[in-house]
Order: sequence, then C-alpha cells, then structure tokens
Amino acid sequence: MDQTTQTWVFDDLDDDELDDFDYEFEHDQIVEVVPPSLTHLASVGLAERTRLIDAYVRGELARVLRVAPESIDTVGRPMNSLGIGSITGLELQRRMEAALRVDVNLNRLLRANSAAELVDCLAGQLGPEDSPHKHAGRDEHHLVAHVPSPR
Amino acid sequence: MPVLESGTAPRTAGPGRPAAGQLDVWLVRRAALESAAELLDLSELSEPERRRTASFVRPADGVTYASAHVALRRLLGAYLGLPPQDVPFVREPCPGCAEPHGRPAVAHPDPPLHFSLAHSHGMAVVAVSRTVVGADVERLPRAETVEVCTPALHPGEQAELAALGDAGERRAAFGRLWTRKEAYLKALGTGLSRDPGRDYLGADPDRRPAGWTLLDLPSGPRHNAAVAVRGGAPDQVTVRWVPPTALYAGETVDLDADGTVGVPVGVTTRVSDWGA
Repeated sequence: MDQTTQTWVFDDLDDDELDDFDYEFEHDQIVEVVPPSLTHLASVGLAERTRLIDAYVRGELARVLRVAPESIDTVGRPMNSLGIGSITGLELQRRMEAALRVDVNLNRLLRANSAAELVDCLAGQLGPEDSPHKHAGRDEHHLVAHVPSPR
Repeated sequence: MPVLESGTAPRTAGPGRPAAGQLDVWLVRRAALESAAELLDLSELSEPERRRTASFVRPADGVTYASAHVALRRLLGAYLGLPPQDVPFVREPCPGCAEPHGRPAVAHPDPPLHFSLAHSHGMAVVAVSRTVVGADVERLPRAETVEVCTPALHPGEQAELAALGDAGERRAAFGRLWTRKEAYLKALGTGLSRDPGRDYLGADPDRRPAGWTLLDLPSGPRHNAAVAVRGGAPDQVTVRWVPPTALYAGETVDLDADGTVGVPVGVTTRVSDWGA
C-alpha cells in the first residue's frame, strides 16, 4: 500500500467529517456473557430452554455488536439489520460453537431472518439426547447441527 | 449469465466506461445524521431498499446503507447512461447451488460493467470495472474479536498473525486480510458459503489465489478496505470520494469530477505504485 495515497485521501477530510466517523465508535458497550449449562438445557422443557437460549444469544449479539442486550430485537429483524456483518458473524458463530458445542453454519447465520430463528434452531439441538429434532454434521442445509458427544 | 429482469434493461453502455484495464473505486461517507432525513434522496431507491433503510436498529447504520445505495445507483446510472432509479439490479446464480443469491449485477445479457458494493460503520466502497470485481470494507476489529476468529482462517494467515508481537498490529493485519478475503469471496460469488479457512489472502501476494489481483484500499484509521479483480493488475486504479452533496436530492455524481471546493479529488495511480 502506498502510504502517500492513504494519507492523501483521508487528510482531505475536515474535522467535522472525521468527527462524523468517530461518532460510529463512541457508543461502544462492553458486555459480559455467561453461557447456560448444557446439562441444564437438556433437562428442561422446550419453553424454558428457548428462554435460556434467547437470553444467551441476546447476550452474545450484544457483545459482538457492542450494544446493550435489551436493545437487541430478536424477532423482527434479519441479522444484517441488527448490524451483524461478516466479522461479527464469524465471531458470533465461533463463540456459540464453543459455548454450546454445536456446529453453526456461518452463511445461514448471516442470512437468518431473525435471531429468533437461530434461537429456535439451537433450542431444537440442545434438548435431550433422544430429541427427534437433532441432526448431526456440518452442512449447507442446517443453520445449527448437533455435535454428538464422544462415546 | 445474469438473468434479464423484466421491464427495464440498460439502453446502451452509456459513455463506454469504465475503460478496459481501468478500475474505478469510489469511497462514500454516510450523510450526517442530523441532516440525512432532510437531504438524502431516497426517492431513487427501490421499495426493498427503502424497507432495508428503515429496518436497522442503529439509525447510523440505516443512513450508511441509504448513502451507499444512493451513491451506487447514481454512479452506475452515470456509467450506464440511465436514471438512477432505472438501474436494473439482479442477483447472479450462486456458484454453489445455482439459486439467485450470487453476485449482485446489472441485468444485461452482456453486462457492460461489473460492480461491487460494501458498507460498514459510516463508510462505503463502490468498485466498478469491466472485469469481475469484489469489494469489502470493515470496521477495525477488536483484539478480542481477532483472538476468537483467527482459528477460522487459513493456516498461513494464522501463522502470519501469530508472528506479530503487538495486538494492535494483529488487529490491523486481520482487518487487511479479512477485507481481501471477503472481497475475493464476493468476486467469486460464493460469499461466506465458502470456508474462510480455505484460501490464503495474507500479506504475501505470491501465495494468494492465482488469476486474481488484490488491492488494499486507503481506508483511514478506523476501517480496512480491499478490492479483488479477476485477472492481472488493472492498468490504472482511480480512488475518489463521492462528494457528500452528490447524495442529496436533485444532485448527481459527476464521473469526471476533478475537484469541487472542499471536496477531495482522490487519486489516480498505477497499480505498480501500490505494493498491495
């Protein structure tokens, strides 16, 4: 990269214009997230499991978006309207996969119609071992896939 | 081959631009929040674009999206000789499944140009070329994000990041390689349905995918941006700001603008100068 080019293009912005860029970064919040226990998730009914996972997903979304968890609309907006882009989507995928021991399809995550769609898929995968909703294996067809426990 | 959208199609290739071997890159800043609702002209956007504008949680994201799409329509309209609202967009078939969610394109049996649009946190990039092109811009990632996401990268990219001693350097290097990667995946048409660990888009140009040229763009201290073009290096790359006023009602984008008062002109440079 030619440093002269880089400096030249941006040096021509005046202070107000640079302040406008800074606005984008002035409201960042730091959010701590505690994942739910997988054992507990598998032991409760679907409604309670969905509630716990909704709280967890809301927290992870808030963490990667650097906003307050209560500001996340999980029902009516697709991921990109929440502000999820490729890097934040990848971060979300990797954090959820590590915490919940599931496979999450990044492309489908980015195209999800709402966070609730993700929550419902997770709630289906994190039920009891004999749940008929579970399917294993990372593929293009499922947003979330179950990672079977090692025998 | 893109599918023709019913109704409108470009009348001609307009003024015959961009020229062969030319890569035009336009940088866009979002309109100021306090005046965007009054000054930004959304009338040229499609109904789905207007719905998307209104759907963002953060108002600033909506203004960035609208600014990017007004700029895109006015730019492509100028290239194609069409009113902005008549620029016919289409999604090419996905290379993976043939469904219509591949690269966005101009609906034309033989498109006179290719383009790519990206936007993130107040900034947008529009790349226009005769050859297939992909663009990306991203906010500089946090150190924690880099740590979480690095294991998903190509092993060669992971090794490069691990060799950097300073977290600030790793953030910048991650941002550069990720924007190259996404620009490349957008140009391929796969997006992130292709494993981000599969291709090397690190600092060594000789190890990057053959048949493509990757360029790091000037993007200021808060962002990274990159463009991927199919084939060898373009003969000439021009990087310019779209003047903020060009997004307002009644205004147009002048492809020949060489400097309005207070508006940076940009830079024309040969690729050999870039070292990207």
